Amino acid sequence: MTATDPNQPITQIEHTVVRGVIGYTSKKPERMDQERGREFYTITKYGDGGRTIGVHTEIDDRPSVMRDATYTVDSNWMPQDCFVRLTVADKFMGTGWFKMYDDYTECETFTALEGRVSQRMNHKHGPLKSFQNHAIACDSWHFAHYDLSKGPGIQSVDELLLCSPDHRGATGPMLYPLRLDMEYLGDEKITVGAGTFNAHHFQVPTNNDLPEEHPPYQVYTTTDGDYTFLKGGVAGYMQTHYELMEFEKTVG
Amino acid sequence: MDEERGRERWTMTRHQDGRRSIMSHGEIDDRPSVLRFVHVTADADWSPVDAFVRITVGDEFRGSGWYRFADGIAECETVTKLEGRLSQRVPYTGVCPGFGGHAIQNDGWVCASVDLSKPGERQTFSQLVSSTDHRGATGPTISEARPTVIYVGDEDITVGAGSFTAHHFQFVAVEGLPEEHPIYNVWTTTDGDYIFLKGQVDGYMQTHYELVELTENL
Repeated sequence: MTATDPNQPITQIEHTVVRGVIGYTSKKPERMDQERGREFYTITKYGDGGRTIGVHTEIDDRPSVMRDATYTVDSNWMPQDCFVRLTVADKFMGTGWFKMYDDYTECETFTALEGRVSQRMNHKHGPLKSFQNHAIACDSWHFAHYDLSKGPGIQSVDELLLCSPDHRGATGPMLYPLRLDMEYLGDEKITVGAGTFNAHHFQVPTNNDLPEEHPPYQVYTTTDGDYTFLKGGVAGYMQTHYELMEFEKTVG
Repeated sequence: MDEERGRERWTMTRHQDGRRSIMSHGEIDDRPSVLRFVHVTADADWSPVDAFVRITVGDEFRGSGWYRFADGIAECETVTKLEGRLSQRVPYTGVCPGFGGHAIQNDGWVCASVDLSKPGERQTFSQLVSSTDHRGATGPTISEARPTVIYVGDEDITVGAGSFTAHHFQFVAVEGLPEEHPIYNVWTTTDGDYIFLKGQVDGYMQTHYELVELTENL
C-alpha cells in the first residue's frame, strides 16, 4: 500500500464517472418501436485519460442474450484488457478474459461449446487499435481512430479483434480478427431520449469478412472527445435501433 | 462524521436455474483511492462459478484478473502491476468455498455461507478472496481466508433504500489476512438474495456502508 501523505487531502478523486442507459428497439414493420433489449453502463475516466466501462446488456429477442463486459482503453483509445461473460437463452455460454500487449492479445476463456481454451493471437499491424466486445456503448469507441481532420470519407482499422464474430456477439467469448471500415458522414444536431447533442455521424459499411455479411450500421457519437454512443441503427435483416435514453455524470 | 468516502453501484441478474451474477463498480475516495470493477457469478447453492476483478489504486492501474471455479480447482489468470502475469491454481475438495472480490455487495453474499440454524454460534469457514488487503487494494490474485461469523438474528432496519427485515451477521475474526480485521457487522435481506443492506466496521476503520437505492428493472 502507498503511504498516505499527511499534506494531501484525505480523499483522492482524480477520475470522473458517467452512467448511461441505452434502449434497444426494433424498426421491423411488424414490431415497430417495440423494446427488444437494454444496456446499463458505467464509465470511469481516469486522471491519465484512460477509461474503463462496465456494461450489462440484455437482448430479449429469442434466444435471449445477456452479456456483462468490463473493457479498458488507454488515453489513446488503445485496448488494455476486457472481461466478457455471456448467457444465451438464460443458459451459460461463456466467460473469458482478454489482455492486450503491444505484439499480441491473449484470451483465457471457458465456453459451453469449446471448454477451457487459452488463445494467443499475434498482431499483424502493430498494437491493437480496437476491440469489439459487442456492447453497443463501445461500438462508438472504434471511431476514436478515425482522423476527423481529414473530413468525411472512409478510413480503416486494419486489425480489430472481436470476442465473437456472431452479429449479436452470442458465441465464445473467443478471439476473432477482422478489418473495420469506418465512414464519417459529417456532424449533425440530434435529439435522443437523453437530450439534444451535437453528433458525429459515422457508418460501418456492409462487412463481408464475417461468417455472415453484416448490414450497414449507422452510429452517432458525441463530439466532445468521449465518443459517447448517442444513436445507432442496423439496416438489412436486423432493422434494429439503439438510443441513449439516460446519461448522467455521477462523480467528477 | 458521516462524510461520504465512496460509493458502489451494482447490477444483479437472477437466472431461472438459481444462478446469480453481480456486476459492481466500487469507488473508495480515501487516499490512495481504490476503483474496482467486480463481477461474480454463483450457482444456486452460492458456489462461485467465475469472477473478474479490476482495480485501480491511486488512480493508477493495479491489476486485472479472471477466475474460474470448477472440478476441484480455483484458477486465476491475472496481470498485476507488482506481480506481472500470473496463472494460479488452488485446489479445493468438495464444494468450492465462496469467493470475495471486495465489492461490498459481495460481502452480503459471503453471509450465504453462514448456517442460519445456529444463531449466536461462532462459525468458521473457508473463503477465496481476490486480495488479503482490507480494502482489496492488492492483486487481484487468489488467496484463502477463514472468516469467523456469528449469525446474531433477524432485525427490522431502515436504510436509505427503505425498511427491511434483515439477517444480522457479525464477522468477529478473519484468519489469513496479514493484518487483523476489525469486527464487521453486516445486515442482509432475508429473501434469499443476501442483498447487502447495511454494514459497519469498527476499530481503526470506522466505516459505514448503506444501501441507498434499490431498483428492480425486470
